[in-house]
Amino acid sequence: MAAGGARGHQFKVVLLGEGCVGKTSLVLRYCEDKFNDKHISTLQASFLTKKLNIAGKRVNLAIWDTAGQERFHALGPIYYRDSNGAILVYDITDEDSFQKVKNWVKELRKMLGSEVTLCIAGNKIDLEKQRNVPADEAEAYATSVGAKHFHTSAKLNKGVEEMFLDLTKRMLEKDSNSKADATAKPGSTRRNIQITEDEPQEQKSGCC
Amino acid sequence: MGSLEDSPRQGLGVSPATFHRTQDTVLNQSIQNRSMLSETSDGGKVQTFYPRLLDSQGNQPSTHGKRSQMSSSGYAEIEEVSPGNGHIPTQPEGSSDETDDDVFDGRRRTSRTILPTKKLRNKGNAAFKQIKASALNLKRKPSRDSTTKIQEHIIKLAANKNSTFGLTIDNFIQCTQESAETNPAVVIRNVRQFMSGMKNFLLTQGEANLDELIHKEQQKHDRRNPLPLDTIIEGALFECVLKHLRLHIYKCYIQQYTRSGDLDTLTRNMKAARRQTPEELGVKASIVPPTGSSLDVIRDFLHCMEQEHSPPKKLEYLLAAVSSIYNSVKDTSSKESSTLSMGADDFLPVFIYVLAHCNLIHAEIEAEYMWSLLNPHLVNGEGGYYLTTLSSAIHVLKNLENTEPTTSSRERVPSVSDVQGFMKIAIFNHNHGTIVNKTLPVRQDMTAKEVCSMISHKFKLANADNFKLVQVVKGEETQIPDNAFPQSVRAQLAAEGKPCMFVFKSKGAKVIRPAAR
Repeated sequence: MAAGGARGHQFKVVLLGEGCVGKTSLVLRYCEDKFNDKHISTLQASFLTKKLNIAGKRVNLAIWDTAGQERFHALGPIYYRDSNGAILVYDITDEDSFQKVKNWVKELRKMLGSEVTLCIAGNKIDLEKQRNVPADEAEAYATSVGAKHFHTSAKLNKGVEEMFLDLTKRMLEKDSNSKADATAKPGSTRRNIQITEDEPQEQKSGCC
Repeated sequence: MGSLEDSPRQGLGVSPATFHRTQDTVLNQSIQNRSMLSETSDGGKVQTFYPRLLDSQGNQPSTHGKRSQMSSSGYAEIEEVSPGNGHIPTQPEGSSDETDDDVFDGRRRTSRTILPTKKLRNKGNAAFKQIKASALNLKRKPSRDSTTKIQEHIIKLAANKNSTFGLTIDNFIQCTQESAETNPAVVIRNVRQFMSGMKNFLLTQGEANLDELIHKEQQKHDRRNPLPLDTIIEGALFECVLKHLRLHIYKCYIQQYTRSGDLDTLTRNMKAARRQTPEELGVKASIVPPTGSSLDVIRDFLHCMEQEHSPPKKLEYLLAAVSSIYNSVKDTSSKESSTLSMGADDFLPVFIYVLAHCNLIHAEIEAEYMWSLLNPHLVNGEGGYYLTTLSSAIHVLKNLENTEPTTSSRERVPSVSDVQGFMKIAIFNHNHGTIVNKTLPVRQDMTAKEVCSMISHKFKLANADNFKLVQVVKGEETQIPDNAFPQSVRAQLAAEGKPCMFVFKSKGAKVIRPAAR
């Protein structure tokens, strides 16, 4: 899906993370520089694009938001296939959401290998006082899985621009590195997807 | 979701131009469609719909509103990708909106629609765009004519059974329709490959003055602004081929999904979903999904999508429906009259709700059709995102929990009566008007008569001869002959996968029985 050429690079970035961690706010902040802004009608913020110019290279990001609720977990593969980059968002006040990020990392590495560039965003640093995920732990984890960690706040517009910029730069690097491979075996980019069902949930033992 | 696999679609190249028409055009067309298609829908409804749309957009203060982004960004970024892939001609700025589709629309429908330009598309709201676009319409006439001319020429060629091109197309359509091959994946792949092949044929071999015509038309355009030939030809081929094969392809899909049970599952689950509240479907409590006339508008778009044979146009209708959903969703939590920004967390459940309420039971076929026939480059952008959303909504609906209990026997919890040597029999006592389920010891070698006498004896029934053992399969009851073995009957029915129950009742009694589960 990454396509370079005279008119620029094309990258697909998928946003993953539990519901309510601020995925949508982050991308809105980045693409529209808005946070919960007043608007007349409903804004579509599920699919947004951003044009960048990095060191003379024209880059176009297509940012795919995903539904983070547990019930939609099985849909992940439909969305992240062919992604060049993924931003895994968690809420620093919510430890579960960080656990979710770890699960996503595992799944992405399994399904997409090292092809995909990862970013982990500890969002809502405006609520630092209520932090439940230790910053050093999160950063150490990110390093261990080859991802970059960013502390972000969509509300205060902190770390958002930097994160997308860094991600884009790393995707560009990967793209130029893999160019040689890609030309060697043109059929290498398969578009297969695999949908895995959720593990059956344990039945609640109802007892009175 | 096998369709998401890459089928051999190499070499086809609908240029993004096909998409450059923005949604307002689609909206317009749909309105015409509405008035043309459905006599039932009163004109007033149509009229109230349109101004409402203008209102909501006309007031939009920002010229960089999301809606404009929605209709532009996705396409703009596809544009970027095309040249990198070599075989797609660069999409010129100026001619981007003169798509083949417009031409066909113009010919088929009563009035021409307004064509917003790309420049305007980036600038702002729909209402604004429309006014401006109509003013600019004249300016784009030459290129529009070129597209029309070329496509009309190709369609004429296809109709001419004396030309190689026309004959090949005719043969292909006939062969496909008469072929024993009914696996939709194979059929649709062949269609796709055939169209790509024909396109290459036209581009390389040319046919009956087509070259001249193309050359002549290209002269009218400057170098930086060449005609999107690939798109133009592909658009013409959709008319020549898909117009005649859409129903055949659908038939194959319907057969397959009926066999596999997918169609049934989706139909049943959509029905079940309609009984659930939006919240049960995952919609946030503060969000009010579209209802009433808004839902009607969305349903119309989805209906248009179903009727359309051209894949890119189908996708446009899907995007138009998506756009209407965004326009009609209300958020009750916002303090002021502001609106929420809907990310996927919010949109997907609403979309699922809408699909269920529009009862789009062929949604899966629509998605497959588009995935299989669209140029892969078109499914990378916004169109691809919402096509993905359609596929995921179908996936969710097919796996919906809390659906009504199915009649399928495999989902039944095994009970003692399933154990060999036992049998569950419903005993209808017409004196008391009661039905009692009893699990009774019934040996393999017991005849129906023996079972009857055992039951009569056990329950001390006076007129035992009056009672018979009947089997109830799918609400239909059949008396089991006296010398038949009930256990064998049951085993046979179980092997056939037919859920059945056994009832012991007096001959004349009419049992209002519960449906066999």
